[in-house]
Amino acid sequence: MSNNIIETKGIVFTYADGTRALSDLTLTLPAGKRIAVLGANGSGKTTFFLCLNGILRPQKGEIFFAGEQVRYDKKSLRRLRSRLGIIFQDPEVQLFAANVQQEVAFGPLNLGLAEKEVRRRVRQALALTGMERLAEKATHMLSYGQKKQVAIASILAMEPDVLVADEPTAWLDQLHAGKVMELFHSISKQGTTVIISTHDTDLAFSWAEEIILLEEGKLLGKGPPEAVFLEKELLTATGLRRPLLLEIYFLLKKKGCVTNEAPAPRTLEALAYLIKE
Amino acid sequence: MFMLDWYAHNSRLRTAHPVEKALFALLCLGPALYFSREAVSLAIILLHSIIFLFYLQIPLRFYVKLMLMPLAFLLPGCLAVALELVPAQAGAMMLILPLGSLTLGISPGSFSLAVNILLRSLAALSALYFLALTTPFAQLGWLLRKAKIPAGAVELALLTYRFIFVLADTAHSIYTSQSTRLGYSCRRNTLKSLGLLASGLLIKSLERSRLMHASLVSRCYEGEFPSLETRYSFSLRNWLLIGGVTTALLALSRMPAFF
Repeated sequence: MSNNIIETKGIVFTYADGTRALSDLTLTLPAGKRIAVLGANGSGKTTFFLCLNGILRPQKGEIFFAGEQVRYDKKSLRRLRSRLGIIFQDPEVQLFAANVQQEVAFGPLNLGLAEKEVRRRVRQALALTGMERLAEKATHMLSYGQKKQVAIASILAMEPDVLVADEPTAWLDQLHAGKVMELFHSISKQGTTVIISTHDTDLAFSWAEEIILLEEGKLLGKGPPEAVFLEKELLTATGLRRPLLLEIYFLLKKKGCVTNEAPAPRTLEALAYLIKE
Repeated sequence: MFMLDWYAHNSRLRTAHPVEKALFALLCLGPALYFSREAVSLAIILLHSIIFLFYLQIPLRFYVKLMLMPLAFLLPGCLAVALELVPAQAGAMMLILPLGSLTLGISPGSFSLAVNILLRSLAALSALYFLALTTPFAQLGWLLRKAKIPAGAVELALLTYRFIFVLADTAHSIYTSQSTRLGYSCRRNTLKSLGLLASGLLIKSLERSRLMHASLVSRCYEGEFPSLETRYSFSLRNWLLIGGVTTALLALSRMPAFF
């Protein structure tokens, strides 16, 4: 029994204007892990995500969620979307309600939960994203970082099994980007599968447990960061740079400044630890 | 207009029960329109100006702007009421402009009517401004729902409210991007750029609504916008004030008219 929460088999998706976004994409995503989907602009990351929750329907191929094939009738889609939540890249597009609390309550209310439970979830989601004091604030009076937090909270409130975030750190300053990634880290610790898309290899390297490399709608590589990022040709094929930390590590290794036997470091502290006196 | 919204959200009375605020506004609006007494209208205008300037701390300049804005159509309207075209032999008139067998002028009667209408309008306006300056739109939505207005209409109002800001933002960024490229540097360019701005806005709105629909559907949207009940608490002090003001206005309505 594979512990893959999501499985795709040969999906092909072409947009109405003829752009072929996904070509024969076959992959599996392990449950409960932190997954980073990497790829250059136009590699199909967003299209892939929109296929996962049924917004886009691939012309060919099958998608499986928790072992069951994704069906496109109303009931199945509703069930799928209650378990898989997507946070879109632009929070401006997502926020529609008059104030923060109504926005975050939208998802749980749609799930048909009792008012008391909805309030509890809203409170919890706002607390997780640090937005409790802004519950009554109008959505148009928030800063960009705050809007992003509200968008995240509105999905967290639905307590999905899988959280998908399309370029979650785009347009965020380093402080807010760090907060968001920390939040995702702690959510993943509670068992939620967190999937993000990014083209920031440094971010993916330090945060993810599994890397998916997409290029022109095809799967180019898959595996733990230490393995995937070691293959330089693979990365250049996708137009991505190797993580800076790794480059420095290899430079130091070549000069004999680091102990040889240890595995490649994922954080600055780990690298510092390996440097010989 | 955006300032009104800002004041509403940062108002001292923001957390007061929406029913109290609406009731106060209505109990000033009603007498203003119903009783044709200048005393009532003046009292309302004065009361509200004190509330705005001293309690809500609205800057004087903004208050003056708010009250002057409707004068643009109030004054011509009142002037039209004041002016009369009467036969030349009619009684005492103030301004006189003879026109053959007729006289165009202002009689004491028409003058007092014009003043009466002006004051009534300003009083009604003050009452409405009270609501606008103290009640964020989400609370107005709550009130409408409680008043059994159909859910669809209220949802439409709330969405429109949110999207006014989105539209304004988008229009502003298109405008900025155009003017940095000399889009408004001369009359010809201005006309062309405005047209492009309008059509660009339409296209962006359509695209945006498509993306928004995707995000709503991802959160199990099924055609309805349920809302979480916000809880408000009544305040005895507010009710006493409302009662006091209403009584005072009713008492004033018994006073004789000024003219």
